[in-house]
Amino acid sequence: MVRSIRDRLKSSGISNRVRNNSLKSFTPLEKIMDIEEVETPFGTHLLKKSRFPLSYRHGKFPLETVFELPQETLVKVIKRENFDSFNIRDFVFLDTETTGLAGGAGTVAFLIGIGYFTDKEFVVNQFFMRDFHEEPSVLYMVKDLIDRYKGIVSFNGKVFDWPLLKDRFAMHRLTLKKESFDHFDLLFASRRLWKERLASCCLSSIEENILQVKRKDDIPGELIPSVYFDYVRGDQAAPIKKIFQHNLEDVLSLVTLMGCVGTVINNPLTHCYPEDIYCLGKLFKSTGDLDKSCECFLEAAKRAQNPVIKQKSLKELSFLLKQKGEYDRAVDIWRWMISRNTMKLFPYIEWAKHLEHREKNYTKAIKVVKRAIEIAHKRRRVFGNIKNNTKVLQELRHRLERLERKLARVREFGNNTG
Amino acid sequence: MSIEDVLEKIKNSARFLPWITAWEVIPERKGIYEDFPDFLNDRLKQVLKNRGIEKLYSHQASAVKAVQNGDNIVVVTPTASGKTMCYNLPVLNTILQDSNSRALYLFPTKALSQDQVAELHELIEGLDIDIKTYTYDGDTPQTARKTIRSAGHIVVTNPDMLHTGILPHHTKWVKLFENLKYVVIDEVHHYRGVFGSHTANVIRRLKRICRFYGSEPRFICCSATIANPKELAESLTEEKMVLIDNNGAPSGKKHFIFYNPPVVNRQLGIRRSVILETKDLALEFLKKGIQTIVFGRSRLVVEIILSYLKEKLDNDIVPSNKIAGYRGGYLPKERRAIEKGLREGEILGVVSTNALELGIDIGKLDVCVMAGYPGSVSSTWQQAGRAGRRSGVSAALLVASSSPLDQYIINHPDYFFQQPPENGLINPDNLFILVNHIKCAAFELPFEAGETFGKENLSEILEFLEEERIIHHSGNKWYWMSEAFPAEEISLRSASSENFVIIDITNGSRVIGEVDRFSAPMLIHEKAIYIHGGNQYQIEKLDYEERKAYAREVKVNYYTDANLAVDIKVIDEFKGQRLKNIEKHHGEVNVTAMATMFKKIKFHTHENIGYGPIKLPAEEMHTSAYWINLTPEYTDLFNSNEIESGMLGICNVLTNAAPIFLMCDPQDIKGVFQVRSPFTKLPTIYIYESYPGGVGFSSKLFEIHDKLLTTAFEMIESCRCEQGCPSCVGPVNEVGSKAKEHALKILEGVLNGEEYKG
Repeated sequence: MVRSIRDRLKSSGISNRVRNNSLKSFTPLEKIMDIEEVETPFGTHLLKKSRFPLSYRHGKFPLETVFELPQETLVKVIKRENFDSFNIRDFVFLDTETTGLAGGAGTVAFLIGIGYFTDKEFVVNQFFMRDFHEEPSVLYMVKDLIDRYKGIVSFNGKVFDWPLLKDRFAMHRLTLKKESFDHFDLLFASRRLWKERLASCCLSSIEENILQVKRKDDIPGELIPSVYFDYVRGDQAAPIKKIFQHNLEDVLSLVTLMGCVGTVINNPLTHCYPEDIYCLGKLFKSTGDLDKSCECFLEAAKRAQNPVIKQKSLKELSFLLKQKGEYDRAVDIWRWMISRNTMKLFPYIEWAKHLEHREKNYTKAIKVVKRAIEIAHKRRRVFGNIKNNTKVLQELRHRLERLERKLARVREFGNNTG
Repeated sequence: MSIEDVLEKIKNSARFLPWITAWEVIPERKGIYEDFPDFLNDRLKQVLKNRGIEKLYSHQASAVKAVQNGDNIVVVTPTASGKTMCYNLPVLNTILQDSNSRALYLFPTKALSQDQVAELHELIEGLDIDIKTYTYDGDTPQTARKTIRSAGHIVVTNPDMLHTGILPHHTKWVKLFENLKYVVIDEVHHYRGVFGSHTANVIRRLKRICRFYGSEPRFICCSATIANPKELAESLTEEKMVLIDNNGAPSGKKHFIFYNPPVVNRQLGIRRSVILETKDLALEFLKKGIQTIVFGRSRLVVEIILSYLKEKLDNDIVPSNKIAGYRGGYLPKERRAIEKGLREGEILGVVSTNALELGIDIGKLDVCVMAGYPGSVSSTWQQAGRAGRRSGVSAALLVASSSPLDQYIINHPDYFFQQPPENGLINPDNLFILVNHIKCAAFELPFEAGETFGKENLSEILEFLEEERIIHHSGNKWYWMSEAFPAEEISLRSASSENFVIIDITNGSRVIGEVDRFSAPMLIHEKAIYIHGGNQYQIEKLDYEERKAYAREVKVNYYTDANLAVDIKVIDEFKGQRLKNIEKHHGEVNVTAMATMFKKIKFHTHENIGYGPIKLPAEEMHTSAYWINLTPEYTDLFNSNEIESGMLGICNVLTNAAPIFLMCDPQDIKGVFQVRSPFTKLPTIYIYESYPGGVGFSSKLFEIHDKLLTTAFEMIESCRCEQGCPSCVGPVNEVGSKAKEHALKILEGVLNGEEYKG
């Protein structure tokens, strides 16, 4: 007696499922949405085209805000040196909806949303496969579109969407015309600008706190794959509409976000939150705009209510000033912090260094270092043995010994400025 | 004193000589050489010459030529006979001709792959050409991974990484798959049982992906000496193999000594401890400055022997730091240090577990002493192979423990020195394993109508998976449709998805092992003694729903043994045959096991020193089995007492004898006797596999039935106990006082007697 595989599998405990007997009831999406079937040499699929005037507002800013931004500004965010002719019209705005987050060869982007600017409008093309065999056709069109552009704007696309798309091209043996594309991943930009203020830099947090985008009835991301699977199996089509809507808003948010990012960088001091200004200070420091950086740190320190931000801003500012050679201003900051009985060690150390090497005031330097050693001990009592307490204490003691030696030598030879 | 002197001394000593059951002298072998084949690249020839190699050994030349011819090969040679050349040469030769060529090297462990890559690097350095070799495994840093994927000529990895890290992400490895010319599988004999069955499926997936990218790599396999290397390699790869076993490496004269410690308690059949005897024998050599390696079966044994040796040597001429211990998990740096120490004479002796068996190079020693039979003939040769340089005399000593298998081997040296009896077996079509890999394969590439994967009906399986809602049929393809990543949930070493995890809570908590669901009630019930890595643990709590057992380290003088009420139902008989007075069958069975209580059994004496209850649900499992029943006419010749105790005894012996042929662990198979089996209606012994679906043991047992029964008879007959013991028919208090006698009577009729036709 040969048993069927089904029976053997069921009895060997591999499955506990009951057979699914639901009938396939296929409602064409064209009936419930403004979408059309298109044909390519690889078959057919669905394409939804949406157009928006440049003045359209999705959240805080109109889409055209991105055009107002000077090229250098946006370049700062992604640190590319060879951006000689940067034009937002060379970029596509990309967001995908996939069958899961696992990645690998078995994850498919079933809905690919690509937006781009023309002279008069912002167009979003949403490519959709009704079933898996329509993927080659979708990819054919997507490749054709992307081949005409130079760069990509995305949110977390560098890590997820773009590698996934490249995987899908590889699976179907399609090659893009260019080896590499410029890529603006706005997640990284958002983190650099807002991570001090926002608990999360995920897109919904950004939409809520920065972009002022309010979605209605949005489908939660976690549900998207199973909604699509149900659709493919022949269950209801209506929930698919929500996925399209979700994807469309994702793409629009990219544009708004880019505008926001640019605006924030363009006018750093006009923003309300000291945390953001602090972040801008760090951004400008990394791009070499030291003057702007100083301005930001100064402003942030002035306005900060949060003592942590205040302290961090002062620290950054003081080090920048030192770097620029403005020692007096730097020393003012350190002394101010010391006068406020700060528990941080760096003001003491820096002031002591200044006294030792620039003012050659060893007596005073010794006093400062002794104070620092007290603070270091206090820190150990309060915070426990964290980080390199022992190392720091050792260094302070070396510094003290050196200063005492120098002082002794000076006294010996009579050249004492203290 | 030279090694020959020590051997002479042993031969003439009253202390050792009476207990030696065999002393084989394997004569010296001269090397058999061949010239470099013409097609070998000149630069490669030069590099070999620069390393002092003017010619190839015969097996190396055969291997290289067969590969050039387009064959898939399996090379079978003893340890350290230059087998890596058999694959490094063809691979490098091809890369020199076409720099786009790629190769994939598979090793079972990371440690082994590190060693082999080092040798490869030396060759490449000599060639002075840009050939990139990389190890791609769990330790590879993320930053390096991208470079390896695009640039590596030779990618070195292991089956687990191939399974979860490479195949499911094949789109990132396009260059590798498009140009893959060779797949090298080293230590093929290691891929047996459950692990081998899984790996065979991983290779099916690999080949499938290669076809997709248009490549058709050749397989170069290396195996230790087992009975069926060609069969195993062919099952593993589903390719026709050419066997290369004309070993041409030279070797010095080798003495192989079998030693069985004397009996110290006749009634119970207890012998002098294998650890103490091993220590004494090893000391004979170590005290004379002869480099020796000692193998122990567990970490505990290794540690005990190590401390004894250090203690003894400290008091004599040799300082104790000259003895080093070795275990799996030692880093390459540490191994290099031991190797260096051995080479420079700083280290005199090494005590190790089987970890050192797997091909890792620690140089050569003069003597090898094995505390206990390593479990298989091939393992024994591998361990013995650690001793012996190219020329000069070496010695290997096998010291038997009192376990049944050890006793059998030590008393049947002829068995050992003839053809290796053990077969490496796999069952790549074990349904549970197969279906899991079909899931992974579907994730990697949609299945097309007409494709095959394994020997079962693929479309039926895909339909089943569609009902499970993870596969979707569209057009003429089957697509993966689920958010899950299947490879992550499948362990290549397990045959069920509901394993229990054992957590050591002695200091904090860490996972020390896994047990499959079916065996859980008998191995990790509360108060069970669980042994791991030579340490004893007691199970304090078993959380059945969560599949977790909490264990605490203990030191006790007993082990626990669970009483099982086992019920077997035959579901499907694949084959059956009537022989003289007996019938043999194999097929699929449903086993229900209920653990009722456990006994505490004292070590060595096997006294029963306590009981305890087990309150766990019955477990059910479908698996393969081999069963034998006496014919009705033959059964009538005996009274019920003879049948019961005799057959019970035979059942016990069969489970002890099977590992001689199967290359399995004791817990891989189990035996059950039914006086009147509902299926056959006759006295029947079932030997069933411990893994759902089975891994090929049952059909093999059916095949070697005659040899199996003959060996069982010999084991009972030659056992020195009076009425029965665990080494043969079982302890008297379990099988009855005449079990031995009855078992022999029954078997005699089957093997030598006349056929009874009633």
